[in-house]
Amino acid sequence: MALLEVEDLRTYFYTEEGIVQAVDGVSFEVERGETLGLVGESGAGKSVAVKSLLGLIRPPGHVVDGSVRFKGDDLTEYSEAQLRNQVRGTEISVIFQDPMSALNPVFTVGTQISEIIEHHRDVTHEAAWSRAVELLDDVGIPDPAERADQYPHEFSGGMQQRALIAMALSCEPDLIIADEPTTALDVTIQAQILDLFDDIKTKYDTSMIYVTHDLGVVREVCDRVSVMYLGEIAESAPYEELYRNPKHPYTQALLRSTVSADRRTEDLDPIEGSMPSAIHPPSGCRYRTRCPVAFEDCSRGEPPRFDVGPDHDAACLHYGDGGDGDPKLHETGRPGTGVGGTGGDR
Amino acid sequence: MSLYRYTIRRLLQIIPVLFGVFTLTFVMVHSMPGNPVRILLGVSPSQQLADELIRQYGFDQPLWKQYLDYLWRLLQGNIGESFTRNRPVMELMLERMGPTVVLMGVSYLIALPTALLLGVYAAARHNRMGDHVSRFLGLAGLSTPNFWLGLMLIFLLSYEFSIFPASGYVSPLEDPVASARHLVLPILTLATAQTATLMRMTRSSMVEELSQDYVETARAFGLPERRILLRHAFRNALLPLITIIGLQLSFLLDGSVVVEQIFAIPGMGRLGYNGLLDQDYGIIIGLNIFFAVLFLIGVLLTDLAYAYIDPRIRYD
Repeated sequence: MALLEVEDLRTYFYTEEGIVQAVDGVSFEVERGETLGLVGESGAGKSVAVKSLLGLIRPPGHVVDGSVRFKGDDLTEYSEAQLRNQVRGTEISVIFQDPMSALNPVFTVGTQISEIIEHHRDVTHEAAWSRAVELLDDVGIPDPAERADQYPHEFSGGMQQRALIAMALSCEPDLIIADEPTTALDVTIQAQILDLFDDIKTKYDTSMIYVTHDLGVVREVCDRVSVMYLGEIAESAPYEELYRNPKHPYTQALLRSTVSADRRTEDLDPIEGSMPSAIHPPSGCRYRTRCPVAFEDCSRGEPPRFDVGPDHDAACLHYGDGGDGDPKLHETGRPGTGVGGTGGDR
Repeated sequence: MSLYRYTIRRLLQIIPVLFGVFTLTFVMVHSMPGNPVRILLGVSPSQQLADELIRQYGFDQPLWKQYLDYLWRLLQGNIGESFTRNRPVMELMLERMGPTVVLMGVSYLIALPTALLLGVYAAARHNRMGDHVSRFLGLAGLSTPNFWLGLMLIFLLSYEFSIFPASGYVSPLEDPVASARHLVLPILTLATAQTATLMRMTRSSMVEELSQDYVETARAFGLPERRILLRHAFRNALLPLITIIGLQLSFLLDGSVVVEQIFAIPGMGRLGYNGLLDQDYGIIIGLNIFFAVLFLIGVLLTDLAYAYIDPRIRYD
């Protein structure tokens, strides 16, 4: 049994403009010791999906369907108090994107970490404090005893993120959710933080969900990757497999548009247009409006996730019974060259 | 140490400000139309008596000489002489300080915690029934002029139902019960607008803080909502409120002028009001300087409170 099994999760926001289907039928699993990358453009519903796991969605948002099995128990059936006392911070903890604003400016870093420990564990204030100092040491903050007495504004961005990681580790959770933890940081600091994640994963023996829009970062930390598009999972595979053999047209486009050191900007191939609104998503396959290889059937029903390889699935009709099994986009390169709207091009 | 030096520096800065306040007030009272001697002597005074008084109070001197004379007395610690009452303004003020301090102090002590509690409550119930009710009450309290509220309270609770006395003042040292009964209506009048203003500010400040990321962090780590509200968000929400809390002390000063007049309370506000009607230069200038000192000290305390609550602010 996997540590975390998310099945058919749906989180909707009931706004005045309409129902925002931010997460619409998302399923994924996280094995013990594994790091899952949740990748997608901004607005794909990644953050909403991970917040839904912990019941952190505030009105007008609601988790309307699906199950979140953590160690066999369904967290969606937990009461708010149960989540607060038995899950959040202790079993599953979160690291947010912007470390500066995620820390409370008027309390010292040590106070904020020890507060979590004191709240969840039956320890004295002194014990919690010295544990907080230990944790700061573990995440590579020099002079942890002095630093614990300082306020967040006295920390650099990288140090603040380390402090938040220390906070996430404070009750030794089984699962850490990192929501774009390096997006707000410099690239050099980002590399250090990614190294730190590697260290703590072994040292604390924890699983991770790593949310990011950056496929380059995914390579550094993730074992498996699930690609999200407009509230749904488009493709899911072990990292190496996904990188070498992307199946879903969206993943292929995403890989072609990723900046890396060995690729010039003019070689990049950005995805045309922008993501449609999650209030009125396209019928059928949600990617079809931007997909160069979409055909008539794509608008009919949501494509199921077809197995396309070992431990590899893609939600694209090209791999279904009526499909041709391969949109052949990755090799031919340019989208729209004779393939638009007609199905496969062989 | 740096905080100590900062405080000294700020206290020294009060001196030029007071000089400005004095000069402005002096110019303004002397450019008022009318003649204080005429007001003092009534409708048809004898010319001889008037001339004598004018000479006696130095009103026949050129204005710049009167100004320098006044300034000289000020530097010696005398904030003015009341020529209508023939006594030093300081003495008059000290006599009337008791009622004003009691009135203002109690109003403030009631308004401050009530407003903060209601504001936090409304923010916690954001956009639900409790929030709407407190916001409505806040708006109503804010929009009610204190002189109208005072008169309505007298009409209802004093004239119609005779629960509280309509006017007068009894020192709490003499008779605590009678004193309290006399104070209820004036304090209600004075505290309503204060509470309403601060409550609305507290609410919006709290609502804003509750949408901050650190609140989400605290929730994600399983801290109880009550603790997040009262410890994490409130401490941050207080920062913009400190200025308002400090400034409200001065709003109380001008509120007391109206309220003391309505309820016939022999306090400083009433002294100032009557001084103004009599064109008593000494009382007007003296009270103005005194209020300015209070105000400046209030502002200084506000700034010091900032340094205490917000670790990001350091004075050096």
